[in-house]
Amino acid sequence: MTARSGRGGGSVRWFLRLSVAALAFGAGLQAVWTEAAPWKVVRRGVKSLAGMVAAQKEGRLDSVMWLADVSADSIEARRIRMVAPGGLRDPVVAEGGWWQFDEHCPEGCLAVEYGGPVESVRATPFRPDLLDAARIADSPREKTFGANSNDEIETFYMTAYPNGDLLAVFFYPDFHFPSFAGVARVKRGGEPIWHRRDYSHHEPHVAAGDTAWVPGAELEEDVRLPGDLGVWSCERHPTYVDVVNVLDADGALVEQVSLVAAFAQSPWASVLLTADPCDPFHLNSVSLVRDDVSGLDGVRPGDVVLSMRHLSAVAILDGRTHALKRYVTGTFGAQHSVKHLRGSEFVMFDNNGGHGRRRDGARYAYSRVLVVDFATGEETVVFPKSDSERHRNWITTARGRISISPDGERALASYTEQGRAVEVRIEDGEVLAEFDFLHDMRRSGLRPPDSNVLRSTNTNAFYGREASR
Amino acid sequence: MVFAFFVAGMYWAAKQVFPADLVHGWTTTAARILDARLGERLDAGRWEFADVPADSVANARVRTTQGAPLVDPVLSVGGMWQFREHCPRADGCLAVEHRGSGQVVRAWPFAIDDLANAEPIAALPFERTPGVQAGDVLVVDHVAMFSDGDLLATFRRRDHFFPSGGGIARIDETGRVLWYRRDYSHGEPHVGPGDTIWAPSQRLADESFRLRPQPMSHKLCDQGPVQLAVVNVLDGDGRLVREMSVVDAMLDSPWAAHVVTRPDACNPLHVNSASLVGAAVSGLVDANPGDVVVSIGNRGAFAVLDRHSDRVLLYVQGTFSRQHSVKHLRGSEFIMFDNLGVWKSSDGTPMAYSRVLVVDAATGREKTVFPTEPRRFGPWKQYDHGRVSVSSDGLRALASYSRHAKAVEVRIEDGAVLAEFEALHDVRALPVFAGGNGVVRFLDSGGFLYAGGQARAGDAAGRQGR
Repeated sequence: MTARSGRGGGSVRWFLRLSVAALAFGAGLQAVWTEAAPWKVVRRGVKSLAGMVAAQKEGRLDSVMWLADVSADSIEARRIRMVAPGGLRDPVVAEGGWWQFDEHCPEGCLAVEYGGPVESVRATPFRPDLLDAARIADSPREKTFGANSNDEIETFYMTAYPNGDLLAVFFYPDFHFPSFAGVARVKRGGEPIWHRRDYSHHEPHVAAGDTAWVPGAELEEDVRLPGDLGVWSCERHPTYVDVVNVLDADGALVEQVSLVAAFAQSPWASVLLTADPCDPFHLNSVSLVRDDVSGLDGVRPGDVVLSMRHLSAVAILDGRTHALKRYVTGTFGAQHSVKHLRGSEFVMFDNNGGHGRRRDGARYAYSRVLVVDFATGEETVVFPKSDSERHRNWITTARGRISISPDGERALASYTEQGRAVEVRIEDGEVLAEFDFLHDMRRSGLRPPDSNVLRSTNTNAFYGREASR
Repeated sequence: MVFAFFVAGMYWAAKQVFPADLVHGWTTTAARILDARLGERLDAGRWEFADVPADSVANARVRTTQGAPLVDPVLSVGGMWQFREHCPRADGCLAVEHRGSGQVVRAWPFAIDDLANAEPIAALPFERTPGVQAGDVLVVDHVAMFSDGDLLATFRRRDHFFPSGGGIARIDETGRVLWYRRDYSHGEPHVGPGDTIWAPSQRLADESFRLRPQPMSHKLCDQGPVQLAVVNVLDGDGRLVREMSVVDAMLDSPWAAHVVTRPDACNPLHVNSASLVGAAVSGLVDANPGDVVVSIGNRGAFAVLDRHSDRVLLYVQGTFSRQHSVKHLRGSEFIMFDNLGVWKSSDGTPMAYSRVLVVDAATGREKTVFPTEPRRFGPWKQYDHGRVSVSSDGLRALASYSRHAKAVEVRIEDGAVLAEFEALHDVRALPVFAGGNGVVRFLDSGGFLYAGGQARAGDAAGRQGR
């Protein structure tokens, strides 16, 4: 009797143990599904641990470089290739970063400028270690425990001041939130003059008097829009509320232009009602309307041209009041780098606009250089030409840049994720030169798998004198 | 040990190790069943009590300006529990026809079981919460009229079903279901010449589907299959004549980028109405009478597709957003229900409202037809649904603010309000509405439309114009 009771008691105990285990297991499941507090802590811990492990230089290679099936000895010949007469008449600056162009700078160049003759190279060393000393503004951010901000920083977009200084926008590919690493004015010798580690991002513009127009953002939870237009609530992170920061030559903030305010007071206010609550605009370039503008009622020289990826649209703000004057859409999608070309024409890097079908019926997509007449809506594909099968395979879903030559006749188009760029004649799309941003990793001491040559996936090219246009 | 099992549970869930996803599905379903509390909360938010005496409901439904009679007969779309005094032997009326000063002259009975139990001539699979019956959640989405007076109705399902489109049916004046396609039809269909039907619908892409071609082939929607907009062309007997793939047409058009970029990767277009270009078209290079106009709600755009080749002839964006019910009006002008317009108060504060908008597709010029007094009608706004119906002479429009159970008839030229309509219903006999004053507004009604007018609006406007 006693023995039987003992067996029964054992079964009950086992049943209770299993029940508790099942309940604990279920609670664990539920903690994840409901995003409960224990899971949030664990997730952050795991992420930090992974970040610490991955924060090795080798682990970060793939964020800015891809394997290239190219012999290291052929890099120099491939980087710049003249295709037709008339190309490379003006200095071209290629953005760099860690280990890039390290034949010119020991740990990589921030940028290299190729002069008219290709042989002439002017290199600017990449010195993130000097940024701390030049810091004039710092915005709060989170970072993975153990991550070193200076080691993590990468180049994002750049342009040049008339005196040759570079205005460089940086980002952190990993381990930081937000990923924006600010904007700096850097001498050609590599020394930063000032660094604002704020939420600047994407392509800036340098105007007369060294005034810089820089895309930026404010991070806000539950953004209450004007009037009864509602609230932006992003579940993943604070909303990126884009602004344009106007900086003087010394990096001081002169003015901040609010895109929300501009839209809310415009006929296109409804854009705010349907925008992505996490990243409503994704502003990716700022530039100014040129003096030769014509055919656009109310648009004046000095008005501000904004490219907004998440709206697949371009906006023109009044240069003084910042009122939204124009909102332009077309066949382009997720475009970057919109610039006033002449008259009522604007040129852009259209990331998603190129589509076609091959002979077997399969669809393909490519990025293109597009000129849009904002007065008529007429669009002209400058590049790639319809018969250029190779170029019609080039696509970059993120980034991309257009730079217009000082004489306004040529454009540099950077297919950033492809690690390539072309110089084309705007009139007929003729390719004048091609760039392939290859890098020899042998000097770096790193051991990328399978090859000594990597292709940069974060390099844009631009004319050194584009700011003077 | 408890802690170890707790951590293991988190690992299972985070890594989605089998059977975590299965268990998640079960618990989600169970929660939905509990949440549904069948027969009760299924209807929450669908109606509200109206402060109108039950005895005056019939008169309060239609108010014409200065008592002038209605010029054209107007259909008021109903459904379950609606207009029961006119369809006492059914669950309500599918629609009633108002004439003169608003009196009801015709009614189409609606029996939900007849529809739910009808043998469909086409049937597509749905996911649904176990225990929820189709009839419990099926509501009338839109109605159009055939030349013989039969009604074409699309249905939609409130929650608990995926996709939410509830199919399309032809129902005669006695309430008989002549045919029912239990497919993914939804939104506002169009009945054209010869009783040919253009019905917005969708296909569900399989797991391998990628919106973008190589090399941009990553999966965009992580919440289920991508919903691909189509327009089904049906004959009067409900047979599928052909499927116009709006997604394919867009991907083959110069506007392909508008399919593969934001805002909604799971439902990139969302076609919510289909109609035809009228004979009075002019000023548009490619569009011809009979071409198909589709309202693309998730892009804030409308497109005109070639009626034969499906080629996108025109793609128009403007200040309108989440719009519905885009119709060709005359020349190069289109009229629509713009769900999210914005007006400015006297101090410049932006306020959202829904409006009737005319857009000239040739010039991009826009004109707000209604409301011309946003202060009075400004609070009327709705993020979804809504309808515009154009009178047979092309001079007037009925704008249905279905989320407010209201509609107005306006003169298109100057926006003058000619009549106001309200979807009021006497529900004193229905226990489910106990506790109120016996009169309710249904807030998801199918709205109002001119009886027989919409199919020929563009043509009539053309005659008027000539």
